[in-house]
Amino acid sequence: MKRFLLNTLVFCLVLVGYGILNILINTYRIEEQGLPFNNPNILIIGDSHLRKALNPDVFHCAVSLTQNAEPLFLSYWKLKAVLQRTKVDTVILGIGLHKFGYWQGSELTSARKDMLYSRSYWFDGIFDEPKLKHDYESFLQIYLQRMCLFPSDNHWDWIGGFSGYEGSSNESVDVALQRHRFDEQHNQGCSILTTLYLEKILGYCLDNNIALIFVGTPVLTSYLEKVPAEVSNCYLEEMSKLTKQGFPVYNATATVYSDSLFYDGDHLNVQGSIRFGEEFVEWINRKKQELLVR
Amino acid sequence: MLFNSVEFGLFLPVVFFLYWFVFQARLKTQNLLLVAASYLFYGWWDWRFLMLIAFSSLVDYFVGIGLTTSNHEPRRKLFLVTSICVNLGFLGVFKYFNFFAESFADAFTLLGHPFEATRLSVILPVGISFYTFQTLSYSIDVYRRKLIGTKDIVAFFAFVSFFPQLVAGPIERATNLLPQFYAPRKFSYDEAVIGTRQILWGLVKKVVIADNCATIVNMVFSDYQEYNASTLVVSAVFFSFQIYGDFSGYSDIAIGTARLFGFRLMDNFAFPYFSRDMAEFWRRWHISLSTWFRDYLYIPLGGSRVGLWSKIRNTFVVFLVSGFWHGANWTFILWGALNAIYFLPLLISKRNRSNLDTVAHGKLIPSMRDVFDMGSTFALTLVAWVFFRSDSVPDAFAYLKGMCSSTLFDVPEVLPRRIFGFLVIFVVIEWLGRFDKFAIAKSIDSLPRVVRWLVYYLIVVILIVFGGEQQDFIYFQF
Repeated sequence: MKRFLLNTLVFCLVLVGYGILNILINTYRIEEQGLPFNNPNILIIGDSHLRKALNPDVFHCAVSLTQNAEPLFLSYWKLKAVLQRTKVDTVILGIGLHKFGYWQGSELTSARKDMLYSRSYWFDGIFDEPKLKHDYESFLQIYLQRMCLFPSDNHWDWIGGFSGYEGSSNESVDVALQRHRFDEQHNQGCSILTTLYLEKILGYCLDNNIALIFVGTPVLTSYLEKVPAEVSNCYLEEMSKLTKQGFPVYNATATVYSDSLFYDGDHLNVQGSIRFGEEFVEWINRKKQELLVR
Repeated sequence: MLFNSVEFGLFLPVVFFLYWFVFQARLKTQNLLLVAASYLFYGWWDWRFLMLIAFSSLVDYFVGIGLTTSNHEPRRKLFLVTSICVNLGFLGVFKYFNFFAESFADAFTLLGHPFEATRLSVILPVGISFYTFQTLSYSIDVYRRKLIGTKDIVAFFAFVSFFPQLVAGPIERATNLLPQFYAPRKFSYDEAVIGTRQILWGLVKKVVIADNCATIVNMVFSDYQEYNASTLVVSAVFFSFQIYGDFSGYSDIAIGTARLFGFRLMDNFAFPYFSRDMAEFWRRWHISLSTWFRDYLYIPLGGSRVGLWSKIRNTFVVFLVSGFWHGANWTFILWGALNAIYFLPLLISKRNRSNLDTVAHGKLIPSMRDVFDMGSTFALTLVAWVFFRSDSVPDAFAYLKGMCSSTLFDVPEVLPRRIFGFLVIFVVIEWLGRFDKFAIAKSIDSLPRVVRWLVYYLIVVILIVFGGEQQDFIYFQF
């Protein structure tokens, strides 16, 4: 028995020791290396909607960190991670209708959990939010893979960027609605978590003296019409609340673009992104003028 | 509690420590600890089902005593019938009620008298088919006087609920497992090492092979109309490995865990995909269930010492019941029927025991004949697995039709090279270790300790890096 226990103990200690050593090295590298992009003035954060719609090149010195399927709580963690390492003047935050779907709180237990954990495994405070459901085993597996096995320089899976869609897909609007669980079967009201994290992002930007611009990108009218009224209302209420509070909100969700500018029901293609970029810059310039006049 | 979960990773060392260090002095308390640990293990899914297993154990405990103390044959029969009714009754209510209700409703609808079937909203208790068969074997063996009914209630409860094999087997016989609860267990270093090694190998089968294959299988089977024939074939091959990795992996972990506590469970798999005919396959696949049906159904029906037609009937009965045991769906019944059809020609021509040894005995490379035989047996099982995996019979036929379409020689639309790589390495390791209880049982014994440990570390790293998304064990649903 002694021999078995001793062998097991030594085996485990070597394994754990090796893992801890790698955690220390990897943590050091994350802290010391800084961000793998130049210091920008403008930070673009959001999910695939903004990723496909807004090319950072329309601005002078902007970086897009947008990624597909990014929930708002992840945007918040990202923002904190960036702002702890660099300073920016402005944050452009994508906020779509689907962000108000009830399922936002269960994203870390969904089929996308591994992808989302691989983008957030070293972020501070990811377990601090009681309203967020976690799959701890998936987290552990990702954490062990990325932090414990070997020293690595690749800890930046959460950095995305603009990537336009060419042409258009065959996906029907109904499939897009299903993707966002807006089909009747799944419609279960609005996400409290989204409202909460909007406020958190807002508060964080105010504390750090950063201008925050909210952006809703265009979607096909046929998509918009089928979004459950409850979710649409939550979205519109939130946007109007932010506008009333004096925050710049560029809500182009209902702006009618020709079908040829869409890749699918809820994403613009490259041509669409060119038009969107121009209009958005024009809107920002107008806003600046207004501020100057005031 | 899943074997491949963090909870089990914490549960096992704690129970191991308590078992060998705190409760070692008295056999009774050690057994009591096993009952408590097993009930915790099982209750982790749903504590309400503990009542079910406790009631079933209690009934069979008293039935066992009644069968032993009574010499009055009608009374003994009554005891046996009670045990059978209670155990199969639970199975009937929880597993088969809705199936029968819907099948009757469908049949009446076909006859022009449509009616709405009453459905029960009950969840299927995990592993119910396994422990009910285990307790049934006890009652039948005591009835046949192969075994004396135990008066040790703690040992009996531990036998029924023994956590390593409670939810997915091996389905133990009371004659093998129950006496092990009466005798003091002594820790054996060699047994513990081999047990730990078997757990590791079982985890590789489950986490690396089965869970990775599952991703592709789930994707293709759920939308099979959208894929070309070659993709459907690839997915069916993946399912063959998924179910093998999943179930034999579970059995390896179960047997290995039992070894850590000083118990020897029966073997459940013996490299079935290296079988040269279907009879050999069924001697190597889910051995504990196949032998259960042989001993408690096939032989009582007359076995093969009867006339030709009775032999055919008996074979069909066993395979159909075996299919039905797996699930309340016509797909499983057809899977059983198909296997009976595969098996019968061998039985009738008396070639069902022609491959009793291990393939390519004493050779590294099999002969062309062996390769052909193994390939054709695998192809037959693959067709049967399509029924096993499909949601409905029409789906299964449509899937098979899709497999035979003109796109069979096109490039598969889903071709995960990494998983193919795993499968090739896995098959090679299994082939090299096919004479042992499990693939790496002895093959690494001759290596120096440092190299052996490096192999273990490599396995741990492989589990972490290449582990697929965690899936339930397939056989839990049975």
